[in-house]
Amino acid sequence: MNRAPGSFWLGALVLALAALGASLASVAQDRVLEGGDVAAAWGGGELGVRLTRLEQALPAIEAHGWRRVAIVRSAGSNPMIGLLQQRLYPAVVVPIWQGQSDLERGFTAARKVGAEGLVRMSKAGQVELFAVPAPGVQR
Amino acid sequence: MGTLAFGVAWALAFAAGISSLRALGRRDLWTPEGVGLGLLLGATWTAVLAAALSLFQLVGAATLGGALAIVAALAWQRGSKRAALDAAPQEPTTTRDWATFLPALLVVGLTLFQAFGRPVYNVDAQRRWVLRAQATAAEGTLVPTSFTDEALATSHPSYPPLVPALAALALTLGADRDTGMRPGFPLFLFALLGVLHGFVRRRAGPSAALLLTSAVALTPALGLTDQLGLGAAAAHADVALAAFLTALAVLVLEAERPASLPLIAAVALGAVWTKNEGMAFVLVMGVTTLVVNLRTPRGLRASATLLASALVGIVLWKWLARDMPVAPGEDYVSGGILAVLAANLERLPTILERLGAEFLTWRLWGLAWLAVPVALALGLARRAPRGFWLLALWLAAGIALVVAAYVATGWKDNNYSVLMEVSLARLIAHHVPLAFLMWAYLLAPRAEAGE
Repeated sequence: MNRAPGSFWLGALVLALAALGASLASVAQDRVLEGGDVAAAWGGGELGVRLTRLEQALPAIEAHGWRRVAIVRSAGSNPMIGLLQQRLYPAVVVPIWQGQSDLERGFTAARKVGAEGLVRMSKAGQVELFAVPAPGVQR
Repeated sequence: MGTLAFGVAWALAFAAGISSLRALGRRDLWTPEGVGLGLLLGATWTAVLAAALSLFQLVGAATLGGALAIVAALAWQRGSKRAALDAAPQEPTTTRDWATFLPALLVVGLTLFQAFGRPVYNVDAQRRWVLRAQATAAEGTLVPTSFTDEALATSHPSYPPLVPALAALALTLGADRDTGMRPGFPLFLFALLGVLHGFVRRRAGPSAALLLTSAVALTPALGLTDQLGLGAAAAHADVALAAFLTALAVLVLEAERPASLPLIAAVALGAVWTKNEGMAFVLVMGVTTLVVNLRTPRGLRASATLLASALVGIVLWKWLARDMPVAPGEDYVSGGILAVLAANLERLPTILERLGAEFLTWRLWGLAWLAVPVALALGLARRAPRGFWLLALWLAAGIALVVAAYVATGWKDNNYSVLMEVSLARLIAHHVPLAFLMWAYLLAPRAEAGE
């Protein structure tokens, strides 16, 4: 095989630089649009609003001093679980399926995993925090 | 310091890595390839030293940072003695090396810009790599007691320790756990690009090195995209593994270069300590290389070194992580893998269909995968050398392993199609640089391409 002609390499270089320019513009635009928080990184929207509320609730959760926290799972709640697990460390965050519509079932599930606190998002997207009561104790 | 500490951690690791490269007698230290190899060796040193310190729960800024500094000093001293005895001149670092690497360097710069000051947000990055780094930094060990809790099994504490070790060093040096993590990851992309650049330059000249290195850098899944936890700025181990596997391929293909065997051993160890996928692939790579090289002593030595180092690394980590829980449905080893594969073969058509669609997703891969059949056709027509076909074999083996993983998985009650949506692109990203390496043989002048 012969070496490719100079015009080939020049064309390839121009293409590479054009792609680089487009990438630069794209990254710069992302940074301007997205800013620097988790909600923005997830593309904003309803999920972004929920993540922002959860992020704002972190000091309140930490203030309880719970070493083990249950979070109620719901569709699309993975980003919230990830955020809680990483930010609340050394507290252990355990996702549970129960408790979205029936709080008592949530407490039962939370007790099973040894959680002292329960976090869930209300249907309106508000963060709700509950201390898990001992068995038989009415809230 | 919160966002810069990862830079200090990398500086310590790099000092150990580049000094080791010098002690081994490599003369191309300050080329993009030399710097890239220095970074990978440094990351491996960090993991090895962190594993040793974990036995005493002593992983910390002073201990791990100090150990890296000692390794750097001792290796540099050994390199100096070696240089004094060695009459051969240092390989000159040409400006052209860096000039043809410049577009790639700019992309790495862009990924750093993308990462700087922004929080870790991808779920896998938060729950696995960064959370494990936080626990390692807090408890002084890569196998923290808090992670023996079954509730944290889905954080995969039994996954290999290289990335958490490096991130833990950064955390102990004062990195912010939210905004200080991502800026550390683009250096793995630098390493990948540097190693690839050196190989292509030797095979096909500087213009081809410029073209192929730029093409890899601009492949969104490896570089700039921020989707699905892909891209160099995500706090994941996928680009890191891609870098180790690229370096391992280059070292095995060029086993005649100086210090290849110790470098193969170190990079194989780094690869198996980066991700479980690295463990599986390096073993397959070793076996295929062994079979292909049965009649060449040099190739045999390289294959044996690769396999021995990978096996030692795997056994050592499995022993260290023996108390770490494995998530239900994600134990791919003890469940009788062949029986599981055979039982789930009906998944294959769905998996292959999704894989085909992924290869055509140009917004993540550009033309990378589409160019593979073209490369194979050209390779056949031009009777490409053995190295080309070895790369093709590794690429096929890598993709086959990815397919096998989805056939075998029991993730979330066998929900393999959902798992593919969230992870397929990350898994094939480990192997895509091999497709670019194949082009190095095709762009080479024919006399140089032959082996």
